[in-house]
Amino acid sequence: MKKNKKIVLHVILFLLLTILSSAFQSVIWYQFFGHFVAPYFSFILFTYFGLDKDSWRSLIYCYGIVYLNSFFTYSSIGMLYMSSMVSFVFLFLVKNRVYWPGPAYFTIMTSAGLFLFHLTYIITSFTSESHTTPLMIFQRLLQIAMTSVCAYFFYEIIKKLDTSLKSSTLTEIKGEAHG
Amino acid sequence: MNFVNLNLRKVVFFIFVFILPLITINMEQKKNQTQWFNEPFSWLTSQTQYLFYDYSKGVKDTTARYVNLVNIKKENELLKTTNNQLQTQLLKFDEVIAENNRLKSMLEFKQNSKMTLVSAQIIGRDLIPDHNSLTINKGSDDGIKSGQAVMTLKGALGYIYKPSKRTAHVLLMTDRYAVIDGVIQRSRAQGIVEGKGSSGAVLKYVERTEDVKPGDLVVTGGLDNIFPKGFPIAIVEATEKKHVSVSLKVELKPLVDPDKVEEVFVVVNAAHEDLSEALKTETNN
Repeated sequence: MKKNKKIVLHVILFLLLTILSSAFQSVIWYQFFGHFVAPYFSFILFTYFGLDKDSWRSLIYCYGIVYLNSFFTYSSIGMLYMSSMVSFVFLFLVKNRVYWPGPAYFTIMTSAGLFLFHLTYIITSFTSESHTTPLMIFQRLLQIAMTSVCAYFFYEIIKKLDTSLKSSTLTEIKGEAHG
Repeated sequence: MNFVNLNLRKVVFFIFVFILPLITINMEQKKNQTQWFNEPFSWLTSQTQYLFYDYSKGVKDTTARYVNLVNIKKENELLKTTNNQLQTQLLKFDEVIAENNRLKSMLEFKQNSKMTLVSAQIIGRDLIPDHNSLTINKGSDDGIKSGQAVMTLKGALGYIYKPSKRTAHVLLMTDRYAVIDGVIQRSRAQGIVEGKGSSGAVLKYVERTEDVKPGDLVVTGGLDNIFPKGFPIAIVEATEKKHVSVSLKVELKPLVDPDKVEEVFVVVNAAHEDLSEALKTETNN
């Protein structure tokens, strides 16, 4: 397969996966578990691409994921971008300093990233919104825990999908080989 | 043995073989009671028989049970399956009855109303937990537009935002960004109902001098022709007069629990319908 074709397929696949994971969270989870806190499935993809070695592609994918997420919530896209980008910067800084391959590292980064996401969301809401967000500490912590558990199990699947459509560029997985 | 030469041994033999049986036959009497000399034997035989009967019955029963076990198991499984099927059917039946009642009430409401209503089902919820919004299965293809009111038979639920072709999002009145104009039904005190997260809502901008008590019903004002006038929104939970504020602090408990809502109405055109009188009559009844 040609490189360009692979890139296009990769983009389509992961954007589709983002939509599927968000729809799963908002519809299927709701149908089965009602208003019980759901794991933030698309944040798992966000973390995965946040840890990608190619910074630019990492940023573009993360922006794409947040953009698609905004269709599933009343929350403003600005709030989502602000909170997500703080997490992105955190992932960017950490991955260049501390890194070891595998689901354990991925899980830790997902929980830390999501914790930062919620923290930034609350701070941003209190500083910039006229109607501030309720703290909902228990729900937020529960969501972080549930998302982290899911991240551990989904890591291998995402990695396989990712590597099957990646060729020459340095990836998160190739990063594993480079340590 | 020479039978012609008779001797004592031959005679005794003959008696035992022929004569004694004949005599016994002739002497036989039908008696209901065992004679005394037969009793020990009778007892012994009866006990033996009983013992054997018990034993054979036990064996027979055990064997029969064992033999029937396969059939019983099969029968049991069949009964279990039938029971499960019947229970599921019963649950489905209950569910269908409940759904039927709900839909019937909705249909009656729709038929008796001047408003143009579109019924919809809730299919999803907000991705971010701090926002209270839902997704319904009707969109712009069904005439749904942004800002239209969404309600249930029990009361107001919220309003439409971001409608797409086949789905639309509903901002619930409990969301911190939701606002609906409200009126205290009893005293006609006006205010704005604002959401405050999943915990409820508040009625803002009510003058300090207004008569508002816990338990009062808050209904829609109908000024904007989005909601019909006089449609129930919430119940007053608590009121507080602050020294520094010019308005009352009124805590509200929404009448509709979004967690339990399955079907809703979207008010495509409120047609200036006034439900105040109908609601008063219903309350009095």
